[in-house]
Amino acid sequence: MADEGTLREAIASRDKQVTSLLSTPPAAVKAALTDPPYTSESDETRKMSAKVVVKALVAVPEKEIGSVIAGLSGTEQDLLMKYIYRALEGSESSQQLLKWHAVLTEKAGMGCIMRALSESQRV
Amino acid sequence: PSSWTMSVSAARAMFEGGSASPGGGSAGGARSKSGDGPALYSVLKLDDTTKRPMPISCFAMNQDGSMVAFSPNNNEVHIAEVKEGAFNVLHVLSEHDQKVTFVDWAPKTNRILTCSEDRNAYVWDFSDTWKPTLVLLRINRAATYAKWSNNETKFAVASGQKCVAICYYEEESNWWVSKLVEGFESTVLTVSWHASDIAFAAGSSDGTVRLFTAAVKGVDSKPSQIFGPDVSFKKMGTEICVIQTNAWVQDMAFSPSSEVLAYATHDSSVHFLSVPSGAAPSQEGVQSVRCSGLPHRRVLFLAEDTLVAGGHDNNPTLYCLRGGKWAEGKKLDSGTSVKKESSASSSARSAAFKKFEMSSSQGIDDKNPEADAVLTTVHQNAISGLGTCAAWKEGGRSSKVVSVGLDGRLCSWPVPSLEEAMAGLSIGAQV
Repeated sequence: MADEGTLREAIASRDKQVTSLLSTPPAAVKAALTDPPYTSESDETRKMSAKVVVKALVAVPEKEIGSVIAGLSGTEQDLLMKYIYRALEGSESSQQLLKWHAVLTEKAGMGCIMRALSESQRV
Repeated sequence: PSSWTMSVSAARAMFEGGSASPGGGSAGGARSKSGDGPALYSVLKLDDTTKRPMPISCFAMNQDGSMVAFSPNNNEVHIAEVKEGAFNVLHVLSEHDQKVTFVDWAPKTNRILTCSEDRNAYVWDFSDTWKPTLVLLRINRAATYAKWSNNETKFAVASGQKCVAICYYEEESNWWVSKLVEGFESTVLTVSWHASDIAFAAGSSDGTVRLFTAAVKGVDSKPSQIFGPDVSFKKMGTEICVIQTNAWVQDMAFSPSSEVLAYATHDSSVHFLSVPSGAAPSQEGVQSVRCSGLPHRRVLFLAEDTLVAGGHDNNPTLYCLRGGKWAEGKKLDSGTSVKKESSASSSARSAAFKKFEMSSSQGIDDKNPEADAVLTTVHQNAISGLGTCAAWKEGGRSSKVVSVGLDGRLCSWPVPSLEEAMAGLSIGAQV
C-alpha cells in the first residue's frame, strides 16, 4: 500500500539531487527519472514528481536535447514520455515540453507513445 | 507453387472512370505505376455495389498455398483458389449469422474451422462442396479466435465470456463436445497450442497470458509430465502459470519446437516467454522487445529464430533471435515500392473522391495538396492476417509469407535470411 509520506520524502530527496546536478544536464535528467511513484494514490504526489522532472528538462539547452535522449536507456525513454504527458496536463513549460516530445518521438518512435498511453503503471 | 505476381489489372479501371468491367467476385492485382514491373499486391474482394476493396478480417491458407479462406469483414467466408496469381472465389460459406472473427485451416485433414460473433463455431469438411458441422460451444458471448491443435483432433475457441472452449470429437455421439476453461478476468483474444497438444496458452484483454492443461481422455495418449511433477494433467483446464503484461494481448504463437511463446501486446511490445520442458514457465523467463512503431495485431513464426509481426504500422516486421536475445529486425516493406502517382493523369472525379477519402481516413486536408495521398507502404491499412504454408518451408524456415490487411490487399513477401534481417540494426531496443 502506498505510503504517501515516504513517497514524498523520496521525491524531495530526488529534487535536491536534481538541483545539485543542474549544471550537468544529462546527469540531472537521469537522476530525475529514477524511482517513479507508481504506487502513489495521491495526485499531489504525482504532480510533485512531475515538477522535479520538468525542472531537469527545462535546464537542458535545446541543442543538447537529442544527445541527452540518446544517452537514456529504453526504459528511461518510455518513462520520460510518460512524464512529458503528465507534465503537459499542466500549463507551465509547454513549449519546451513539446520540443522534448518531438525529439523523443523521432528517436524512440510511435511505440514509445503507445507504451506511455497504454501501460497500467501510471506515473 | 506458381508465382503470385500479377498480370494487367482491371481494378484500376474500376476506380478511375467507373467503366464497365467484370464485377464483384475476384479481382486482379493493382499496380502502383501502370505498365511495368510485377504487381505489388492483389485485392481479394471488391464490394459488389461500391466496387471498393473490402477489408479482410481473418485469413487462412491450406497446406500448399493453392487455396485461401478469408472473411471480408462480414458473416461470410470465401474460399478462393490461387491460379497464376489471380484469386478465383470458388465457394462462399455463409452459415454464420454475424461477423466471422477467425478462420483456421487444418493443413493435414483439410478441414476449416470458423468462429463468429454469433457465439458459434463451424467445422467444414470438403467433399464436392464445403459441408458445415455446427459445434455447440455453450458460450453466451462472441467467439474471438479459434485454432486447431497440431494433430488436428481438437481445437480451442477463445471467447468474450472470459473462457476458452476446448472441443474434441466424441465418437459415440458423433458430435463435437466443448469443455470450457475458465480463469481469465476479461475477453480472451488469442490462443496457441503447445507442440504436445496437451497444453495451450491464451492471452486476454486483462493483460495476462495463461497456460492451461488440455489433455482429453480418449483423444490424447497418456500425458507425460512435460511441465514438471507439480503440474498434473488429470483435470482438463488446470492453470499452469500466469504471466503479467502491461496491455491487451493481441496475438500469440508457439515457436515450432514450442520452446518459446511469443506474444504481441497493445503497448507496442513483443514478448518472448521461454517454455522449458520440466518446469512451468515464469515471469522471469520473459524477454520483452520494445517496438519502434505502432502495436502489432498478428504474429507468426517463420523459423525457430524468426518471428514476423504485422499490425497498425501496415508493415510486417521481423524479430530475430541472436545470441540468446530477441531483437527487432528488418521491416519487410522498405517503403520504396509505392510510387507517387502524378495527379495530372487521374480524372477529376477520382481526384475528388481521393481528397475526401484521405481526409477522413488519414487526416490529410486539402490545404496541403503535395501531401502524399497514399502511404509509402504497400498496405494502406492495418495488417489483419499473416500466413505461410508447409509448401513454402525449406529446412524448417519459411521462404515466403503473405499478409492481408483491412485495406483488402494481399501482399506476398520473400523472407530474408537471418543475417540479412539483422544487418545494420543494433540490439538497442531492449528493456
